[in-house]
Amino acid sequence: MVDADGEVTRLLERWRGGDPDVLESLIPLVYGHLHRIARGYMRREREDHTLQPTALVNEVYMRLLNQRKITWHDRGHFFTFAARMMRNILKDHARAHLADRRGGPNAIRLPLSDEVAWIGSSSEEILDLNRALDRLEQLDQRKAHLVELRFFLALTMEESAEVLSISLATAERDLKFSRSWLFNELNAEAKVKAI
Amino acid sequence: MALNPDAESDPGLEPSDLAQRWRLTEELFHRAMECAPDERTQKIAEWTNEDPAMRAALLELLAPTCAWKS
Repeated sequence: MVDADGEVTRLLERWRGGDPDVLESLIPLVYGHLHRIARGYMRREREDHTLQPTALVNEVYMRLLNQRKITWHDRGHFFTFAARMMRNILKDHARAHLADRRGGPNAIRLPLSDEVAWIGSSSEEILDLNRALDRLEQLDQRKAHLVELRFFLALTMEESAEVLSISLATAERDLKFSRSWLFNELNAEAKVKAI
Repeated sequence: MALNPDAESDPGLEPSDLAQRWRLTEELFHRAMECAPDERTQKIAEWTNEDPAMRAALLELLAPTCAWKS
């Protein structure tokens, strides 16, 4: 679990209390989780991927270290922030990859579970996914956060529901609807590009 | 796509209307998912009798669910 023993919650309370050193304790907890994601990447990765899992984890780690001015309100805020950070890193990398014109398909693998295996992993597809998520956030912020937690931070449904303070049943309903909506949005983008 | 926050996609829809429409679409989507697959189209036609845009949006949303385990 992301916070089975409440350690993240306790550390965030200390953070809010003004303890400047708490970040050094907090980040390793997330770092461990990110490493588990990285191992998931390794099972899916091709050797020619330009963004290696360890590099991705290190990038997240460095960006978290630079967030000293942010006041995380609670555990949910912290993890949704981390998920957004992961998403932004992948988006930045996809943009750079396209700009370099060195990329081909499968430049990056997202930690997507089999249930969303239809989402591609090329740089263009990752940028399409980002645009679709931006639109989803405008319509329904909770669903966008849920997708980010599941897709970019690889939290389980139980963990995601806990972070968002919703029931597991609600999370499952949200994801079911979001999955269909995203599928159609991405298909629509593909059709527009094909014209 | 019938439900999109972009103004170009939904000309004339106020944000509050869009939010209400989003909630209704979601509710009908889940109701449809509870129906047997071969009954969904008919049920949706009944629920959206005077709203062809809603009907199209729902059918679009439900189409991919046939391909994956719900």
